[in-house]
Amino acid sequence: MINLKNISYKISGKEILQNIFIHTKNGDILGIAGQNGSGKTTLLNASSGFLKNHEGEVLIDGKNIKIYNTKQLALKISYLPAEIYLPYDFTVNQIVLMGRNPHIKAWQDYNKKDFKEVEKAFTVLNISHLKNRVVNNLSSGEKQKVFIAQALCKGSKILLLDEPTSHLDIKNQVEIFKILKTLATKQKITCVIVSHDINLLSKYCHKIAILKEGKLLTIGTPKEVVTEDNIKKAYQIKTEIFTSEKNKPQICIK
Amino acid sequence: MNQKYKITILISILILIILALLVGPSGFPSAEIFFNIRLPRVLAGLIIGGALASSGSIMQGVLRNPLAEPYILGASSGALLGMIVSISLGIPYASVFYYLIIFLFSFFATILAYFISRGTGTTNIINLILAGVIVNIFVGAIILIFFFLSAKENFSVISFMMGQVSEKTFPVIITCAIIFILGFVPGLILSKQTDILMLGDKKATELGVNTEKVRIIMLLSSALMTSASVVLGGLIGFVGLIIPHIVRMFVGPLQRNVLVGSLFSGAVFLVLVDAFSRTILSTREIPVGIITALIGAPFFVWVLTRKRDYYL
Repeated sequence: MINLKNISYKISGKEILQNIFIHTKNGDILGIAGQNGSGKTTLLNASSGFLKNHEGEVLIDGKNIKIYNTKQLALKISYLPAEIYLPYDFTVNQIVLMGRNPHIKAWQDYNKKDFKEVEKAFTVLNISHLKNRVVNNLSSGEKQKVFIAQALCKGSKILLLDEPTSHLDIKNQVEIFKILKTLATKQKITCVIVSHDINLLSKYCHKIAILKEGKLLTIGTPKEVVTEDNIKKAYQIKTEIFTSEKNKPQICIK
Repeated sequence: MNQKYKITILISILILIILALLVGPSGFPSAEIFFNIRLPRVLAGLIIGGALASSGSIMQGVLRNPLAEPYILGASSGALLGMIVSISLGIPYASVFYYLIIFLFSFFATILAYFISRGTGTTNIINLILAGVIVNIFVGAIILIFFFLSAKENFSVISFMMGQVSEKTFPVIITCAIIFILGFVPGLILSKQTDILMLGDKKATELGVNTEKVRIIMLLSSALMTSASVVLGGLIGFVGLIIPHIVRMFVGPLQRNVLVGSLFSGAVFLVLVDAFSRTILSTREIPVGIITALIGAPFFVWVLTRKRDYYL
């Protein structure tokens, strides 16, 4: 459960975020959309505790994020940046195992339980066959799954994702969102997803927030948020809204 | 690699080191030459090579850069400056202070680069590397001024720059070995955290690693090892760059394996190259730094131009 209370952030006088309030429940999927530069990634950085000098409070399970130390916070939140550069050829197994780091002491070795958790994560994401592959040689879709597996293996109940589907084809985009949906329903993991694909967000999220110039333009269910009016305000483009069979609004550019 | 293979490699390395102990310009050594010249020289070679390769593997990990090496943050030019300061102050060669000044200058050059990069608030890797470049350039200019102003050619400085495992006394060697161990142990303990640091600060923090703390400890550890090697052997290029890469090709990228592998292969490599450098010409010794660079550069081209999906 992650709640944002009145988050503001400035860089040399420029308001990057202004008075953001967001409330989530366990197992919620929250989508965050908005133009490039509207503050989405900064908001994720603040929520993950990586950004420290913002105003307002980030509450993790009802407690201020600042009372947690690095390790405790690691157990609470997982964060997937948009891109991860790996200088050397780590294998999938090695990377996923790193997810167990907050569970052991710095000088300790990974133990049986850790390896078991890794296997479990592989099964959930169906990537056991990639185990010994080098992560740098995987496709973008496979890479995303590896890092989701790492987060899963860590066992935190909040998952923040920065554009997890930006380099993926349609099949993989849907697959990633389906995985997140399963995690949210079965394991009650709260997912916060920054994405530019409003149609996907509308189909899979419980709630969508749209940012505009650092302010929260609107937040609510897909039905409430994805309207011609809101899209015009956020992106200055004209759209038509259709409703899918499952009663989810889908946008089409005019 | 199977067990038989490993044992064969181990035995051949041992034989080569014993050979290295025995060869030299004066042929088969007498007991006196063996204990006063060959043995300290081989010991110094082991420490220099092991320290450079270990420190290189740490720099490549912490800076997330395959082109990083022990001297990247200024340890080499710092040491050179230290040597010039000692000479200018008239401190006799081989006195304790002579070595101490070289060590301190080398060590603090690295630390200086770290603090320059901290000027922007948090350390960012690019700033850290740039700070190292700046320290290297600035100190380099001071060294050139010294060369320019000193009328006679200073051969000891030039030979220091080319790297030479010349005879060192046992107290110096033992002190350097202790400094090396002081650097190596924290590097080994924090190797798991260093692996995670290679994912970038954001990801590492998210995985529960205190990035600033691990980085400063690892840089200190690397600086200690590099300075110890510089005191013993001057500036020897390429060992710290290529050995960790070769090791990585065999054992994969996990820092603990790379670090331990680098320690042993670096040590053995340098002793062998040094034995080669003092026997290839019968009349004089070729500085070992020249040979490591001559072997290292083409090898590195080969490493850089291959790509693979699995380890050896």
